[in-house]
Amino acid sequence: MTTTTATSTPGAPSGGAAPKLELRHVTKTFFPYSVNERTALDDVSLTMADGDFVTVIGSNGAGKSTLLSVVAGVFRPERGQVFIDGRDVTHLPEHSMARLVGRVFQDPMAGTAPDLTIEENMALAWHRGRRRGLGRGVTAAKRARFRDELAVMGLGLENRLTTQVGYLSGGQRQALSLIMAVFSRPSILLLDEHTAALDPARAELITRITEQEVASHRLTTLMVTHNMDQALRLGNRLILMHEGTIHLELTGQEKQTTTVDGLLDQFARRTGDLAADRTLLG
Amino acid sequence: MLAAVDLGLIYALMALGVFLTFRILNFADLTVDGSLVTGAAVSASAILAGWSPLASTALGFVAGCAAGAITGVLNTFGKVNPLLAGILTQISLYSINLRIMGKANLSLLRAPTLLSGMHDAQWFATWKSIAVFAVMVAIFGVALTWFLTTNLGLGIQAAGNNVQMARAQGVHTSGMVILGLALSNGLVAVSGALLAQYQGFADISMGIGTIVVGLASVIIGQAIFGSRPIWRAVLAVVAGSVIYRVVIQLALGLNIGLQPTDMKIISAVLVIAALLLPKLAVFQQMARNRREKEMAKQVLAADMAAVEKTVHGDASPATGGIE
Repeated sequence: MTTTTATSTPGAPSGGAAPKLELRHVTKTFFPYSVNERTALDDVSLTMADGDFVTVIGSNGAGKSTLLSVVAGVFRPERGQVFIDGRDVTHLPEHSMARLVGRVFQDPMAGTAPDLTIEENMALAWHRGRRRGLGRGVTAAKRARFRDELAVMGLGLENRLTTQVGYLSGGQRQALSLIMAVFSRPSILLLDEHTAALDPARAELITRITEQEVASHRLTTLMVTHNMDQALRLGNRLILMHEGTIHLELTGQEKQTTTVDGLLDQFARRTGDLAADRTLLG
Repeated sequence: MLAAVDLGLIYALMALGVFLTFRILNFADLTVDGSLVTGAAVSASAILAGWSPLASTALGFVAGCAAGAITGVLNTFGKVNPLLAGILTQISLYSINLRIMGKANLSLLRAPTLLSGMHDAQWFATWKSIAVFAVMVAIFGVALTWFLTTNLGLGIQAAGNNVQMARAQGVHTSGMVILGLALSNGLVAVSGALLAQYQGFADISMGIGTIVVGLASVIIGQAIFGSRPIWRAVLAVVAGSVIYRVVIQLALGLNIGLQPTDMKIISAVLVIAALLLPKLAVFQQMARNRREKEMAKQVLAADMAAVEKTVHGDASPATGGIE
């Protein structure tokens, strides 16, 4: 069982600049030294160039979400380091990481505060990573900006700025979470199965908005998904995780020509796991 | 009856403090039973030591903030359950308050207080005192409303409303809990300080049941006047505090044999009623109607905007029934 160290940089040549995101030999173990000990990430290394859009697939417990949580500063790895824009951020607390990282969660309710209005939620996101002082939370200038950002999605949310977010549907809340994650132009965008809890039509809509936002702001994106078709269709790189390691990486031409069945074959070959099928992965 | 309104307005500051923790931070903070007395004890002691009444009251505020911050630190850094953290601070404050006062009761009758002028002019329990206290509460209410809509205030609101979201947006949630608890207990202490100056004494047992009164004010007020936007919630809490005092006054005046010592059970029954009544079918239906009306309004607004877009000829293809 070999670990593929993904270091290729198919994005634009970065001209010697530090990679956007770099994980060096990261290991994360839950419940260490107990009978429940589980290694969620086992010596994982990953380098992402500016503008890379990496999709991550793998069976349950493969370490996909842990990977995102380590990058977001929610978990600290026992070993290894995390660099963003060349800076060692391994030990930064979660709220400090928010300056660099935008996140969208699987649960549409998780990314927004239900009792606050759309504009108040956006004002919170607007000040992500900045000092929060006694300035007005929502000003006329910010409101105009929020309206423009929301209008891009074409959901009509721009006309409902003073609506409490709790009144929105799951799809609308997820769309708002996505806008809140991207509009501060984070160094890294982390998407954790952010379409998985939505019905197919809304999942498709959120996928479309994701593509649109990532492309228009050239965001360096790491997206976990259970949907192999989505993983192949979106982004310029695909990594497959299994038991805490990166088992396979597809980039460029190879990624574009691979089909879901081809991916399943590869997965089975790599892991020697005959049970690897759509139900396991999807 | 006018005396009840006076008291309701003075206690409204305490109720605003409880609102800040209970509703905004989603933290049932029992520190208030102690911090109300701390505010009274510190300000009374300072006044008797020759401090100016205003500085003494301000000192009471600071002492209340410190008490709240301790509960906050216990909860955030010590990971102590909110209820337990509050009770631990509250019980400690009992000893501390006695130390501050030196005895169980301090009289302010012959001391100059913030309210001496009103007392000497015999304004208490008249429309004049009500006007003065109403202005005072309005100042605090406006300040609290303003604070909660600043960037910092939104951070506190987010920390209480959705902790995961707040952290993902870079809000230092532990700091927000500590700050919120400090301000809350500062308000409660000011309420205690004014109460001592109003009634002319500070007493070690004046804080018993404060949290129940605060909750009653918040719950009754918001059940009647609503909870959003923030200014409406603040107004509701103040109204709730006054209504509570008036109801208690009426209950005691009913001539059915109730005594002042029965006040505590009346408070508890009021809170229970306010908590359980909304669960009755008729109130549930009212809440549903209100929500439906709100939804309809929203959808209408969105539709209007869509129509406007079409009229202006820049309509993009429908993005599908996302509602």
